[in-house]
Amino acid sequence: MSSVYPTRVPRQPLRVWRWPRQEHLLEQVFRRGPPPFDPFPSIQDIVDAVLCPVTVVHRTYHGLHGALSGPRGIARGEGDHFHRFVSILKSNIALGKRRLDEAFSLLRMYCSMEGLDADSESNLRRYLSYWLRRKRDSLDELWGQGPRIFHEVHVSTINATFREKRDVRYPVHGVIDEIDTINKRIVERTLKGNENDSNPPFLEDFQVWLQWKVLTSINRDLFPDILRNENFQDYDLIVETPYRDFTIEKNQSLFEEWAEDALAWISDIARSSVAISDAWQNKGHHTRSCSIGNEIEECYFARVACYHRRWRYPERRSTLHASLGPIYKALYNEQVWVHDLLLYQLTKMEQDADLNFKSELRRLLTGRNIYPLEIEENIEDNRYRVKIDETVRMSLVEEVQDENLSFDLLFGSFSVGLRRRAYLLLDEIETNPEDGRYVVYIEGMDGTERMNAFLLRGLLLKEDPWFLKRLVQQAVFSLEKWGVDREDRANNHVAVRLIDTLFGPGTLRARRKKNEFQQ
Amino acid sequence: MKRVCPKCGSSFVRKYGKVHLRQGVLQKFKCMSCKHVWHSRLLQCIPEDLSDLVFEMLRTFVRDIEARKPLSKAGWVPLNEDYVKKLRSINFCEIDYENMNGRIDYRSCLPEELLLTDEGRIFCEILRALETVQEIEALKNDEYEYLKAVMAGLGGMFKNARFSFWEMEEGSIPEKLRNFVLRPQWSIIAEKISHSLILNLLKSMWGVDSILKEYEEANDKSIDFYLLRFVIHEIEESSQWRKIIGFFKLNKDLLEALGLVWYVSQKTIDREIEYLGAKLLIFEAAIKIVAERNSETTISLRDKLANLSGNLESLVFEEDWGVNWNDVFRLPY
Repeated sequence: MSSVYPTRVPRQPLRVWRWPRQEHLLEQVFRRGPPPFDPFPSIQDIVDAVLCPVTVVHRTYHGLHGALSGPRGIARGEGDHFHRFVSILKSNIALGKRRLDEAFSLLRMYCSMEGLDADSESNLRRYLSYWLRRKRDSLDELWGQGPRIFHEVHVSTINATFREKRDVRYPVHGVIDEIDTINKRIVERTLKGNENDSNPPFLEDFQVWLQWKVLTSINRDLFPDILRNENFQDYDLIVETPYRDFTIEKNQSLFEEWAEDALAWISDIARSSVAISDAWQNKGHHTRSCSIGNEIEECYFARVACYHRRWRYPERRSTLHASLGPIYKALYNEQVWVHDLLLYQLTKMEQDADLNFKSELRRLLTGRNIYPLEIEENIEDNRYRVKIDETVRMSLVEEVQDENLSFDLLFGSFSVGLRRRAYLLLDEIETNPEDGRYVVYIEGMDGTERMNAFLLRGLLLKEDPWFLKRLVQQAVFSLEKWGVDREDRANNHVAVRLIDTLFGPGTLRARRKKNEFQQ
Repeated sequence: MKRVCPKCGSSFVRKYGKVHLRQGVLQKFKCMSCKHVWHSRLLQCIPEDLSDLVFEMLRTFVRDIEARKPLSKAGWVPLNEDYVKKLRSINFCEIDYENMNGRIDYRSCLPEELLLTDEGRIFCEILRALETVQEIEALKNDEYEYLKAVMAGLGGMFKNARFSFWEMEEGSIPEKLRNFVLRPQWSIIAEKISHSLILNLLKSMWGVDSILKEYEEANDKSIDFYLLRFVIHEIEESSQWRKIIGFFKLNKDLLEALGLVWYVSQKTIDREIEYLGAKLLIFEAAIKIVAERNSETTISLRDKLANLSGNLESLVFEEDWGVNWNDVFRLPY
C-alpha cells in the first residue's frame, strides 16, 4: 500500500472507458442483457465511489445513492431547501425586487409555500441567520446587478480527463449549485460542518473541484452566450457552509487520482459482480478505513446497508436473498439501457466530433425525448406563454394526453444549461396544444432571455420512469433487511410467515417425501 | 458504546427508558434525527461493565478475519489487569496472560442472548463461513468430489437461468420456437430445457462418466413433448450453442469456477450465511481452488470471469437470434 492509500489499494486505472457503439446510440440494436457499455456516472456517483467502493455496489444493486447526503445528522431535505431559498433570495436582490432586510419574511413565505413544518423552518431560520451575518456586505453589493448569478447549472461532458499523462476520456454529468459571474466563483453550498471547523466538510472540496473539472472540459461553443466569455480556469472554487467559506485549491493531484480510481470502480462493478469482493476488501475512504464498529460516521450506507440491523425473523432470509439477486441486476441493466444510454445520446448529440452522427442523433431524439420551444411572453409572476417547435408539436400533444404535465426545462444546451421545472397549465385559456402554445409555470427563469430552450420528456434524468426501477431496487433491498425479533410477533406476522413458507426449509419437502414413502 | 439508529443510521441517539418484562429488561432508544424508537435487550449473561468489551472482541474477530488474519491471530484485544480479573467470571473468553490480550473463544458455546445480537450473528456467520471454506479446500485434491461439486453447481446455475430470447429483426426466431416461448407455461418448461442443455454441455466437456450418470439419474425427467424436443433441438443444433461449447472447451476453468461458485452459493443458503463479508470468504476460496487446479493465478481467473459477459456477447453478436446467454452463465451474486 502506498502512503497515499493507507486504507485501500488503488484500483488499476482503466485503459479505456467502455463507450456505447454507434448502433447502440442510434438504437439499431436490440436491448438485451447486461449493457456492453459503462454507465454514465454523475458527480454524486463519483463522490460516493471516492468515499467507499462499496457504495458503488449499493448504487448498482440496491438503488441507493448519495451516501453522504442521507438522513444522517442534517436532514437531506433541509439542505435542499436552504440552497433553493438562498438562490431565490439572491435572485430577488439581484433583480432589485426585495431588500436584504426582508430575508426572514421571504423565508416565512417560502416555508409556507413548501409546506415545511415548524422544526424545519426554525432550523432554516437558524442557518440563515448564521449565513446572513457573513454575507450582508456581498448581498448589499448584489442589489440591482441583474441576473449574473446562476443556480442549478446542469453540466455534462464526454471529455473529462484526469492526470496529465493519462488520456482516457470519461463521461460525467451533474449539477453545479451556483456559478457567480460577479465574483468569479463556483460555489458548492452545504449545511454540513460546524462553526469551528477549519476544513471543509468531508469530500465537499472534492465535489466542487470535480464540478469545475467537468465544466472546464466542455467546449466553449456549447455554453450559453451569457457564460461563453467567462474564463472558468480562473474561477475560485468555494465550499460554502452557513458559518464559513472555504476556498479550494484547483491544482490537486490527489483529487485527480481519486477521481480515476472512483471511475475504475464504477466501471468494474458495472461490468461484473466479481469486483464486489474487491470492493468489500477495500471498503472505506482513501484516508479513513471502514469496518464493523469503526464505520465512517458521515456515510449513510454504513449502518443502513453494510452493517444493517439483523432481525431474527424471517428465518429464510438467505434463500430470499438468493431469489432476489437476479432481480437487482435485471433492474440495473434496465436503468442503464434506458437512462444512461439517453445521457450518452443527449451529450453526444452536442459533443461528438462527427457532424452527421450528431444530426442523426438529434433527429432521433427531437420529438421523442426533447421538445425545443420558444418563450413568447411573461404573463405574470412565473407564468409564461411558450411556443413549441412546429415539427414536434403533435408529439408533445401525445405526451400531454398521457397526463405528463411536469417537464424539466433546460436553457442553453444539455452540456451546460440552467435546469428549471416546468408545469404545463392546460386549463389556461391561452393554452392551445394544437397550435403548440402552452401557458407554463416556471420558477427562477431570470437571466435566461435569448437562451435556447427545450423541454425534456418527464423530469430531467427521470424520463421513462427509470427512477421507479431504482425505487423497486430500494424496496426489494428493504424487504430483504426487514424483520422482527420477537417470536410471538413473528408467529402471527403474515409477511414473516409468508416469506418463511415461500422460501421455506427443504426439510418440509423431505418430510413429505418420507411420509409418502412410509405410506 | 456508539449507538446508531437502525432506520436512518444517525448516531444522534438517546436512551429512552427501560421496559421490564418477564423475559428480561429492554432498553428503549430514540433517534433524535428521525424520531424512530426501538428496543434493545440488556444482556443478562454478561456483567454490564464487560458488555462493551465483549462486543468489541466480537467485532475485532470479524474485522481480523475479513483482513485475512489466520484464525489463531484473530479477535485479540488488549486488556488491562482489571478486565483480566473480570473476564474470569465469564466462560467464553480466552486470555493470553503473557501479552495481556483477550478474545472470544470461538470453540466455546456462547450464551444464546449474545448470539442474538447483531455482532453475535455476524460472528457466527463468519465461523460457519470458515467451516465451509475448510470443506471447499478439501475438494482440491479429490478429483471425484470436485467434479461432482462443479456439476451440482452448474445444475443449480442452469436451474436458475432465465431463458430469454432476442432477435435482430422481427421474425428471425423460427416460428415454432417463438410460439413456444410465448406460452404461459414457458418458465416451467424452461427448467426441462435447462436440464437437457446441462447434460449436453457436461457430455461435451467431460464425457459420460460415472458422475455424469449419477447426475443424470438423479435428475431424470422425461422429455416427452414433441415441441419441447424441437426447442431443445433448435438450441442445441444452433451455431451459437456450438460456439459456446467451443468457448468453454477452451476455457474449462471458467466453467469450473462458475460451477463451484454456484455450489458454494447453495451452501451459504443452506447454512444461512447472510453477511456479505462471510459470503465473500467462501466465494474467494472457491475461485482460489479452481485457479490452483488450473495452474493459473486468482487474478487472471477473476479477470476472465469479469470479461465473461462481454465474451459471450461477442460470440453471438452476428447471429440473427439467440438466447441471452448472460442470463444463463452468470455468477450467483
